[in-house]
Amino acid sequence: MTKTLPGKALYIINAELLDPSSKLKGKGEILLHDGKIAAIGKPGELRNKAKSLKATTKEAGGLLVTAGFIDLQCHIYEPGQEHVESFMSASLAAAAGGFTSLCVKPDTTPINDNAFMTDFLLRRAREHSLVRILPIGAMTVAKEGKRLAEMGSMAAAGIVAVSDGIGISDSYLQRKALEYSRAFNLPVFLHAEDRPLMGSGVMHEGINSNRLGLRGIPAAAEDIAVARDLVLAKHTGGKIHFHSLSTRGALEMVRAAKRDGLQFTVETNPQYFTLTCDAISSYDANYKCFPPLREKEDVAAVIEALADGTIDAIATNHLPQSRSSKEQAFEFASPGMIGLETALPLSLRLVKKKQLKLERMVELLTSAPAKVLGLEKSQGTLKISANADLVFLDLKKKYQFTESSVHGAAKNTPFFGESFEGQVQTTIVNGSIVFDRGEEK
Amino acid sequence: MTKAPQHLLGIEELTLAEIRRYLDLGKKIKKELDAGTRKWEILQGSTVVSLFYEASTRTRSSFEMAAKRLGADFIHMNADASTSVSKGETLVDTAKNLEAMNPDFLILRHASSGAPQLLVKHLKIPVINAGDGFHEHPTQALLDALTMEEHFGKVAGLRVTIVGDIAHSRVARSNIHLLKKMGAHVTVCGPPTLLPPDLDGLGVESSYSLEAAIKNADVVMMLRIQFERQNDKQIPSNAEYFRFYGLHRDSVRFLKKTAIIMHPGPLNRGVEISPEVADGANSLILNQVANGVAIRMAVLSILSGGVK
Repeated sequence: MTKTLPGKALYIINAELLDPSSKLKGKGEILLHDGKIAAIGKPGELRNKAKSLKATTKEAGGLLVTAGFIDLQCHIYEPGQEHVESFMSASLAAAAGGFTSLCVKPDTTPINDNAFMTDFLLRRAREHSLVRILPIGAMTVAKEGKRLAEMGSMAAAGIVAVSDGIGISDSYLQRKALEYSRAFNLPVFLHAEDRPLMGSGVMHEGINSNRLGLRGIPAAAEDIAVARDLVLAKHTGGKIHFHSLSTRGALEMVRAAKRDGLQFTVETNPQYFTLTCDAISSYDANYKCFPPLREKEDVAAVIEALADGTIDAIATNHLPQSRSSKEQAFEFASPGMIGLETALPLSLRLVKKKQLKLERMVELLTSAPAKVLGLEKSQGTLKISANADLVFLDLKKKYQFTESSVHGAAKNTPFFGESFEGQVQTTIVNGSIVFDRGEEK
Repeated sequence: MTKAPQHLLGIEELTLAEIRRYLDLGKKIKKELDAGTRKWEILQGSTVVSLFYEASTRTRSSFEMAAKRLGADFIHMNADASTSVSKGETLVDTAKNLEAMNPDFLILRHASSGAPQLLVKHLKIPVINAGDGFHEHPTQALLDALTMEEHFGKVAGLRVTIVGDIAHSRVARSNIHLLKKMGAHVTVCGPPTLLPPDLDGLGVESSYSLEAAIKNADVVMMLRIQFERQNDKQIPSNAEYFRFYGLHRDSVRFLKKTAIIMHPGPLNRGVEISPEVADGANSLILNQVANGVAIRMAVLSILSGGVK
């Protein structure tokens, strides 16, 4: 991550501020100093203070300025498969997409299941990443689902949560993981998957899988996992967070459990409020992901849940794949899509269609994920003394999304050729400008 | 005068007066032992049989020492490959066969909770529980209380923290019952996976943080991580356990200067306690062992009816 020189100050003027966490909305300016937000003011109000700090002035040009986005689910393969996506490439994509903090899943080789690896990742990230890297430790040793990983030692080394890559079938082990994690106040990030029920399915089970002759994954595989884990969360008092919820059934259970007062959090990913499994008709493996793209009614349920607070956060589930692992018969292709640079324009579509308020969208990308991590004082907010991580958003900017739009190394996305509206103009991390579209050639 | 109790199966069913009786006699015997007395005649002509279905060094030899000091004969049966247990004999049959030889006491250690309760339904002689599963270990709790009384004068009002695998510990259960009855304030500490549910129901506090649990304690009782009762889904590793729940140079700093450290043994040095702490000035671990003989002499004496 970019180091801030002590005493360095940045004075952002002509901003349209929006920060749901501090109920801030309207024209203003921000003074950043020593990597923190030093002051927020009305236009012109901070001029003298900026001068006394010898601040560099940065013109926001009337753009929307919010806290930087926090991604609760990002897959980066450093060390291991840096050629697919490294800290350098992923963090550039993140900065271009407005994300200033990335929770990185334990997808490295070797796997981040011990404190030495956590320490190594953080050192690597300090040298190579433009944005903050928040490592997620494996919940079980080698993500094998057999023995608990050393969560306490990893927590001391700096992980923000524990998670395995897939749903754990062993309810006893899941219970123990939820209990053990409590000692260190670590959230447990869960994939809502009943693996045996998913079988060797490759897409959502329904009329489309039937027509295409592809093995189906029933919505029940997600619903059952959510039901079990809600019961376990209640029983253990563990702090759970669901990754990537996508079904109407799961969201109804989540809504009911929240109404009953159970404390837990939920995220979805842009593909689940944007696409249905109808898109798979072409057998394009860029549409293959886990959980699979669902039906129209599920998409509607996700959008409703985003608006009413049932879903807490939008995460990218940025899952890079090499070209060759996608150029396969659908059933053999690797799952996942990149998401860092499409999350904002896809979320803004909901705003444009009046399905989501702009404030709510910003909250879903900033203060809400910060709260999932317990980092709401320092991240995802424009409050004084929070980290100086922020983005300038040009909501009116219209463009066609193409391969050359992508700043990351991986290009596996089904959205090439689509017309988008809304783009990140500038990204600031720790008080330094790490991305400025105006400066790009 | 109170009638002699027939058995000693657990602390939970004892009254404070009964506990007091064991402790007071234990204290008296301890004084006599310290003064150099080596032989008593209370159990002259009696035979004590111990039947152990689990490995033991301390408890077995402590009972043997106690019985012999009181003048009894002592026969030890290890229920292992060298006995008829390996031929499929049931617990009740083995005990009945031993009883047929007319011993005066049976001391039982068994890996299953409730085994002594099963035996007393079938036997006429007094049974002493030397540890059943993770249910109770009454003589351990009594000797622990004697050790605390010796050091602090009284148990009432002491803040006692028990650290480790509470869920699978008979020592913890017996101690919790005894300490609560005697008016101590009990806190248990360990990773959530090793703490049993509904601790409130037992009247104890619990904490996942060693620092918070021991900083105000007068007594810190470290339990052994019981490899034979664990599976590896409870804690990730011994190293992580030691780091967060072990007593070592870093964590011992949290203790009050006046706090004492106890451990029922056997120690896993480097797993729950480091050598310099186990052998340090605050450690009363060997006092516990010495008090074990005195308390077991008291228990045998009282159950024999030979001491009023």
